Amino acid sequence: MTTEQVAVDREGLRKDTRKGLIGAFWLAVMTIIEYIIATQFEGEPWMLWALLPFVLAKGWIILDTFMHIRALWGDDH
Amino acid sequence: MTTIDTAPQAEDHGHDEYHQDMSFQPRANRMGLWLFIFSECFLFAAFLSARYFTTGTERPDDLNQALALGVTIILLLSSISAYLAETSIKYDHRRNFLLFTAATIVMGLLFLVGVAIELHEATLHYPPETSYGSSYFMLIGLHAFHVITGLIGLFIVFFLGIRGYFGSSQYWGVEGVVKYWHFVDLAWVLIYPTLYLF
Repeated sequence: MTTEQVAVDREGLRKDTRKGLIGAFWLAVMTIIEYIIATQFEGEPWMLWALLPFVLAKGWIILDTFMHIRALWGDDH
Repeated sequence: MTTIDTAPQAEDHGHDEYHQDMSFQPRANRMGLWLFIFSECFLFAAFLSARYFTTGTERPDDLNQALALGVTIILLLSSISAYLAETSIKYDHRRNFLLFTAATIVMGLLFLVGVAIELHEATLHYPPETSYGSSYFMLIGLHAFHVITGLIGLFIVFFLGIRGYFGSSQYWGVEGVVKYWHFVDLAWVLIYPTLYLF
């Protein structure tokens, strides 16, 4: 492996790791927000609608960042 | 002379054809796994909707919210370490790959311990005979079963990794297991609010 290839690989690894950590950060933030809303406003009828966007956003982060769903139509990998 | 010259060429041609024929394999593997995951979604969707159908958004007062948040955080962390394990092997960092895979396994086991405590508490406060309890035990049990199968996959990948399998050019085994592990995480992202928050 040449020095250039090693540099490209290191850059790729750094980029992918950063991408994963950013996804993880948003998952953590949204999980905590979900928890705070649910425990502070317990029993409110609008709870499901308030938390649904967070659930969907978290699901999309996992599908996109971690599961590379876009590889299915060739945008990733 | 002619025979000597042409024979290797014919052989090379055959070799190329073989590679061309197999080039679809990674994509076909991914597609197969995604179809399997898609079929699993129907299974989880059936039990998630059963919970809303039977009890709406009502939930018992004595749910252990702190424990549920704890196991959620552990599972999310395990998903990140699984992602880092896959990324590491993609770039041939074997040591990090083994380290992150081991971390994922440990967190998966911790999650199961948390679930066992949850189930024990559930038998006291909302047993399976109750309408909420039946949904609770079914969803938690179904998910725990998937965690166990994911852990078996991770164990296999970990031991194959120790024996020198996988590398930047061939890591489908890791990718497949990690993808399945993320699906287990994705299912929990829906189960957690369904049982504890809504």
